[in-house]
This record gives sequence, structure tokens and C-alpha cells, in this order.
Amino acid sequence: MRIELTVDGKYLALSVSSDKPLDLLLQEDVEVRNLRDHCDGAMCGQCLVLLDDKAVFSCLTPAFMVRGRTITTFDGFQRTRDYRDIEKAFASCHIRPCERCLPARVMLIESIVRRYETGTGELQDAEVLQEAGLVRCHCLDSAAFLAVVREALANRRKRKNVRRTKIS
Amino acid sequence: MYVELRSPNIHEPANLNEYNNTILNYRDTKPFLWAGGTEIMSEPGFYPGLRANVEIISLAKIEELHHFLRNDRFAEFGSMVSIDEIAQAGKLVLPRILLDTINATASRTLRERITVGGSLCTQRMRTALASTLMILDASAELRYQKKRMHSKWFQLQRIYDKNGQLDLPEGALLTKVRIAIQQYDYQYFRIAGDPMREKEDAAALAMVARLEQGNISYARVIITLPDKGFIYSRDMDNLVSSLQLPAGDGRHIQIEGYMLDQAREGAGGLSPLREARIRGLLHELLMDLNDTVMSQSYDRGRQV
Repeated sequence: MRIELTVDGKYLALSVSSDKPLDLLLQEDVEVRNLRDHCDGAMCGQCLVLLDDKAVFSCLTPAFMVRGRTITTFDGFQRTRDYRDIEKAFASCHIRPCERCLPARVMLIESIVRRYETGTGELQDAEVLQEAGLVRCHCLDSAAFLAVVREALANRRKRKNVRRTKIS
Repeated sequence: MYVELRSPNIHEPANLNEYNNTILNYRDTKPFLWAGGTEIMSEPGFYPGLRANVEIISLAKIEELHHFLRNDRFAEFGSMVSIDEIAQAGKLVLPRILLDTINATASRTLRERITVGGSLCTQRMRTALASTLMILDASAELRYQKKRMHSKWFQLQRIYDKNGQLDLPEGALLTKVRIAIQQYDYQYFRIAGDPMREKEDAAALAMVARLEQGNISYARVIITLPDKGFIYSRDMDNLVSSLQLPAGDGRHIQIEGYMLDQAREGAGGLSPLREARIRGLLHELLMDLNDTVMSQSYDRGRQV
């Protein structure tokens, strides 16, 4: 099956099996380096990528569903200014996740930040704490994850100069 | 890797008419219906797998399956509506127990992917969403092919057999789910364990009831065991309905024991962890019922 998609800003046309999981497609056909393992859909959370700005488990996304869509992986994302907001948040919270789960955590944080960056709504702590469990790794606890998300969101809003009006 | 494998053919009908035509064209090959795909792709050995030569019908682009309709009496949602959309759109009107169930199912990232139809029609596991919809008396519209395409509304219980296995007519498609908009006096939902990652040990308990001055006039209770099915019966409902609240420890032990027996019998045995979890859930439910009734009578006393 021929699919056309955009990965990290590059337009690609690939010939792959239609039910091939996206993580295998990215590893084998696009040579994304930060996706290492294929967990067979065990929901380890290490393969998170952004599909049209929303985080998805790439091992649970078949190739035919990504036709004409935009994928952002950690490889491409770490070269953007948006990544600096998250990097700064980790530094200011004095937290550094392990090398294995860092790509997935960064993509997850980015999807949460994008959900809230322009809205006037407050960040829902319960929602973020629930999201923290998506990446199965013990190097970072949920409270630390929440702190980083808050900081990253603040950095993003400050950089983009988002004015927030509080609805009372 | 796997380059020489034949790729499954993907059909993406844009509406139900096109879907019907696709089904008719491939009547003999038993096409494979694809909703969100989360459960299908987590099957061991999915890729490269035995489905290399099948026809896959993706339901993602069928417009009718994305509709969400609501009026004063009921809410109706298409089977491809994600459960997160239901939670967002129905925040103010849907029964609280349904929103609690959706929020407990998974985190928002996953909820955006999980569809109503997919979670009701998975083959390998039974979800807490299905059980909550069952006690809310939800009904589902099924479309299936005989000589021509039929559509029929069923009570949600009827799409499962007595062992909790999916029991749909051959080639049937679940298109809509409808629930009445009504709030109950008492709504309770708790889940113990992660049904996606440890479905052999997870359990969920849901209950709705109408309370009248310390008496339960109507109750529905259901226990969900993701890998086995649903545990519910008239006897369980009647046992809870006969409770005089607040109930003492003796009555608690009696009800917990009876319901655990029912669960053991229905599931053909429970693991020790699951048994402890169900016992805990039932204990918490009964304590919560007591609390609710006592706080109601305290409020009434203050008003007088």
C-alpha cells in the first residue's frame, strides 16, 4: 500500500503493508532513531509520537490511518523552539528522566501543553496525573511530572505571550 | 522486513450506503471491521499476522457513525464517537456514573482514541463502559445483512450472551447507542486494577439506585470482570433493594458474601487478588451507601 505522510516536516511517500504499526514504519522505513523497541501493543508508552498534535501510541496506530497526516517524533521535535520550553521546565524543576523514557515523556508533555496553551482553562491536575501513568517507567513520579507540565505550560505561554483572561 | 507479505485491502466507506455496498461485494470473504484498533493491534503477534490477506473495512470515515444527538429525554451517539467526546459534550446532562466510568477508563490521550462501538464490541475483553450503559438501560442500534440490510434496536444486555461473550448476528454493525437522560439519587462507580494491563485481576463495580428516606426503592448493581464478563442478576438487585439503611456490619458481611459467591460462580473462579478487590469494592459501596443516607437524614433534620 502506498501512503503519503509528513514526518518531522518532511513529506514522504512510502510503500508499506497497510496494517504495519506506525512505530515499525518509523523505525524501518523512516529510520527514526529514538524509537527502539516494538512492544506489540503492550502499552509501555515508550513509542509516543504526535499525530496531528495529539499524542498517540505509535504501536497501536496502523499505517493506513496515517495517510495524509502529520507526525512529529522526538527526533524532529528536539530541534524546535517548543522543545526548549520543556527542556527549561525540566531544568528549573531539577528533574531529569532516564534516557529511555525521555522521548516519550517529552512528546506527552508537548501534547498536554498544546491542549492548554491557547485556552483560558486551568490545567486539570487530575487529568495530568492520569496522563503520567501512560509512560511506564519508574524514573519519574507523578507529582514531578505534574510540576514539569505546569512549568512547561508557563514557559510556553510566556514565550508566545498568551494573555489569559480568568472567567469568574 | 516483511516486505514480501501481502498487505490487507483497506476499504474506507464515507457513509452507510457505501458500507452496505462494500459488505455486499465481499460477502463471502468475511471482511474485518476496524473502529479505533487499540484492542486489535494489542493482540499478540498482530503484525505480521494471519490477517495479511483479509479485507479491512475502516469505520473511521462513516459520517453517520460520528453523530451525537441530544434532546430532553435521551442522548444518542454514533458508535465511532470517542468516549472523550461524550464526556466533553455531555458533561452537564449525562448521568454522573457514566462520566465517572469514562474518566476511570483511561487517561485523556487514550480516551480520545477509544470509541463507544469499539469498547462495546471488543472480542477479548468486556469493558466497564458496557456494564455502566447496561445498568442505565441503554439500547443499541444494529445493522445487519440478511436478504437486505436490516436495522434494529436492542437492549444492550442482549448483544452479549449469558457468559458475557459478544453475541451479534453475522456481519452486524453497531451504529448507535442511546441512553435516557435521567439522574439517579445514588450513583456509584469504582474500578480496581488497570483493565487494559492486568485484565485477569481487575474488577469494576457500578450501582445506581433511587433512595426514599433511608430505603432503596430501585437498584441495579453490576460487577465487571474484564476477561470473563458481567456479573448481574435480579437477585443481586433485590438483595440491595431490600436493605434498610444505615445497615450494620452483619448485613454488610451477608451481602458481600452473597455477591462474591455470585461472582465466583459467574466467572468460574476468581484469583485471590481479584477476590480481595471485589470484596473491597463491595465493602466500600456499602459504607458509601450508609454515609449517603446518614448525611441525607442529617440535612433533613437541619431543615426541620
